Amino acid sequence: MKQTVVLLLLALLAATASSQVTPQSCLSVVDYRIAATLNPSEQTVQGKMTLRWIHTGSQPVSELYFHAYPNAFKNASSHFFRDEARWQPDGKALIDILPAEELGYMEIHSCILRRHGSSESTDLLPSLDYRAPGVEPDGDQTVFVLELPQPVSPGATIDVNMDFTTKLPKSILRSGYHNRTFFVSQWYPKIGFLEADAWHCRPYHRDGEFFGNFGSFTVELIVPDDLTVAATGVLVDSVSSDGITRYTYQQDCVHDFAWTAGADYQVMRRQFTFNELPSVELILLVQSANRSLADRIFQATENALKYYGLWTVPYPYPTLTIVDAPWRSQIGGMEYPTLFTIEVTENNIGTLDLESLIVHECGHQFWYGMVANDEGRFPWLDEGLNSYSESRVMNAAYGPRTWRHTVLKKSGFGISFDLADVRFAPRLQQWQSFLPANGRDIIDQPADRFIDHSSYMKNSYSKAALVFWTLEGVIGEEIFTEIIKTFSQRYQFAHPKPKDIFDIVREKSPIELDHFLEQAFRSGARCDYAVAEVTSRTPLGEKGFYGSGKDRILKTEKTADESFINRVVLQRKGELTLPVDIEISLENGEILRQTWDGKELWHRIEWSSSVAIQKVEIDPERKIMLDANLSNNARYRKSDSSAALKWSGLWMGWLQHLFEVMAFFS
Amino acid sequence: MSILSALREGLALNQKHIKIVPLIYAVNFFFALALAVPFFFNLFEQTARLGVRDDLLRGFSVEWWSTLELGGDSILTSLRPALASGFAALFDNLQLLLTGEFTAFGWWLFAFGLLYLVVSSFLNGGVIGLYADEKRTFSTSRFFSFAGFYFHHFIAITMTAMLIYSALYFLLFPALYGLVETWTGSWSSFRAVWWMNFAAFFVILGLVLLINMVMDYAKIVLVVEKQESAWMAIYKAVRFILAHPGGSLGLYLLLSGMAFALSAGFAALITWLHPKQVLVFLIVFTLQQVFITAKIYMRLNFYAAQHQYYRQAQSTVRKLRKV
Ligand SMILES: [Zn+2]
Repeated sequence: MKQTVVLLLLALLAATASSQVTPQSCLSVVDYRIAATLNPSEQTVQGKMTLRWIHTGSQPVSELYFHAYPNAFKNASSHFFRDEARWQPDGKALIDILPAEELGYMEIHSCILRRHGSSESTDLLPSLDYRAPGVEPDGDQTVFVLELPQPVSPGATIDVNMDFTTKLPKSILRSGYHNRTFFVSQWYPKIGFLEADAWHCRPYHRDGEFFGNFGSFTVELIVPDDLTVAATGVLVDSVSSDGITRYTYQQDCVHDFAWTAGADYQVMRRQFTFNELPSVELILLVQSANRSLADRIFQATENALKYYGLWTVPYPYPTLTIVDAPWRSQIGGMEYPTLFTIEVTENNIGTLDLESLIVHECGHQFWYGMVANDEGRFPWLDEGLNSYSESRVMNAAYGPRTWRHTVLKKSGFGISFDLADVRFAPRLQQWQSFLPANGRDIIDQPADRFIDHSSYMKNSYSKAALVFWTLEGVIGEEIFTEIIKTFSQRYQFAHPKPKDIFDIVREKSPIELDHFLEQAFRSGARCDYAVAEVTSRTPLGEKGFYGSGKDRILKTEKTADESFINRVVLQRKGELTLPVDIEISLENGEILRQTWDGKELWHRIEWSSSVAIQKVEIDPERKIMLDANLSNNARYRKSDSSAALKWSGLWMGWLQHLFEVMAFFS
Repeated sequence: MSILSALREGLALNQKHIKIVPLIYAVNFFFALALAVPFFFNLFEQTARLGVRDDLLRGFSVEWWSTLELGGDSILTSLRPALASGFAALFDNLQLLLTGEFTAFGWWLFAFGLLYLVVSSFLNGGVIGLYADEKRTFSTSRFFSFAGFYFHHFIAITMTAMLIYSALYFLLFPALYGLVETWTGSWSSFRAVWWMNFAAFFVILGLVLLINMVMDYAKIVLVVEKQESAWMAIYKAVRFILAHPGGSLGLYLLLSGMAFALSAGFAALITWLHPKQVLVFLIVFTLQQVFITAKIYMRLNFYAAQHQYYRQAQSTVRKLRKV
């Protein structure tokens, strides 16, 4: 009965949520109303916040957990700085080189609890304690808990009023100030996530990102007039007086709110439309120096909205804001609901790397923004899916990449030119990135459990993307797209776990893949299929004693016909097993295709034929992108020296020049 | 005396002893061949039967190369997709002049490079010896007898030069880069930083070329003035350049400009050709050889023209003294 009441209540709440997001509406657990005043000279944000929270669990709760993310930049005791120091190979940690006054923090000045239907209020501030659920207090202050004098019953709604100050750090990562640009993210006391009656409120670690309850945000930003402002959601009101402007932003069905105010932004707008997809107002805050890149930035964003919209669920919000963060500000390359940041650098401006970055960050509007898994516990779920989708979009929209060679380079600066002859698929970059990390870690683990930062990145992003590419290859593009679509529809405005996507794979896949998923995500199993041997030899014929007794004859010369014994030996050199395609090209141009279940350590195919083999290729369509050595996939029966001659010749020419450089010094 | 007349006479002198060019080219060719043959067999063994050979023939195989690079130390890792472009050879080498990272392509290549440096130093004795010997024409035996005669002095000059270059590469340039980095550390535009880095490159290139010019004149002084000490020759070369800064620098820059134009022309031609098919590749290989020959010819022009310039300048000084 109680359960029904709660559900009814929730349905009612969802229905009364503003109708901006259509057609699907979300389960609104939180409603934040914040008034935030930016003080540029002190780099602070003064906040007054009212959080309305609905208890969606089934047991009463007597504690409320909150994130105080800015404290990650408070002092050397934070997990952020300790993690960072651990990943530094040469021992010089970030905190050692940062001036102390450039650090940041969050302070809670007051904290009042009000229950719905009751006029009494309780001061919770005395009970505030810095600790995270299930973690021994260890000096990190990015999570605090408030003890409630009386438990909150399931289905009940409470209001928590807080006054807080966030001192922005000089931007080290994602949030802070950089000259006259202020990027304000993870900046307000954000309530933790209650799931199955347990609190999830992960401290701010160096690796791993964010997630939270879906709900509504109404935020008033009070900012000096000379700064350009943008934020999550829709600008519903702005009033200026005495050199100060009050902007009100509102958005439903999002799980976070970020904003920026800066002196060097220029604002440009464009409307995204594509067939049946809902139109979206794109708002670009571009650095003045990058104005000429606006078209590229818009186009990449539109490509992402189009393809993600077709392959997953359409982008449902009316606006999408792109913030081109200042160079070297450490702000660019991050996603927030209805807003993402990029950074134009000397490295990405001349290549499609800039487009890749935009597609990736825009893609997070889908994997993170709407399908909001816990990025701390399952970082690969959104990063892997998003990296897979990113390279798929890049391939669909821009085609193969060209190799770029940079000369006269010193820390990224140099003269670059494209080598038109050397082209490769966008996903090959992910493959290259994964190679050195292969077998070092497992993919499916919390972000702070990896051996180092590089392993976290390469497993959660690149290798996870390659697992999805491999799944697509093995199941087929059509069914895999259906899996992705189903996953995004089923978990839009929800918080899926790995099991949820595995279940859909199981539901839709024509072949059994449980073992593969386990191996790929939860073990360090490597994958390498190879063609080990290709031969065509004449049959043995007849030679020796044949028959017995009187009939015995001796054949001294081997006799044989004009046929061949064709033999192919395939090898599995890794632990990971998958069915693989085999393509055998014969000398007469005929092509034979077979499949091998890939389970044994080796597999021999032998047959007699009047035609010899020319070439054998395993996985000719590059379905198995987890294969760590793709160059042993195809093998000819006869050798050919043309390629070796060509490259030895080119190499020798280069070497002759190198010697002449040495002669310069003689 | 003028830069142009020194250049004209230098070209004529080089022409008179043009047989030195194939001689040095042969040394260069066989040095490279000595490494290219094992390189070929290594590459052949790795790729002759693999499907990647098709990609390598058409363009390059990024798949194959990534795995190879991960493996590490093989001499094959100095093979890069950029080698298909004529500019790679040009700029990779220019990069070496700017960074001094000679071991970047592995110790094997570095060792061979050092050996080539010593051999070049030996050959230089023959070149300048013949140039200074005004009367007679080219003969191989006299070339080698000069080379042998000046070898210990020339190697002393080379070693002194290496010491100075080392100081530049390991002390001065890192300090300069450090300065640029600190200076531009707070700049908000990467375009401005790019130009600053580029300016630093030019300063470095200028210093490297300046040392090179001093060493060129040191060798010329040593032979022409029959000096007994390499260091004395370097000292006199510096004094000579200080006495004729405009002329010596002007001539050096003119020669460098010619060398650069020649290199850029060949690089553009090779890049434009795209060695995709075997036939085109053969043309490219032949072009590379012509390119190297032209480069050697240009290097000799430096010696010949600067030799003529030194002679002219010194004779003017002597004439003035007699008056
Ligand atoms: Zn991402």
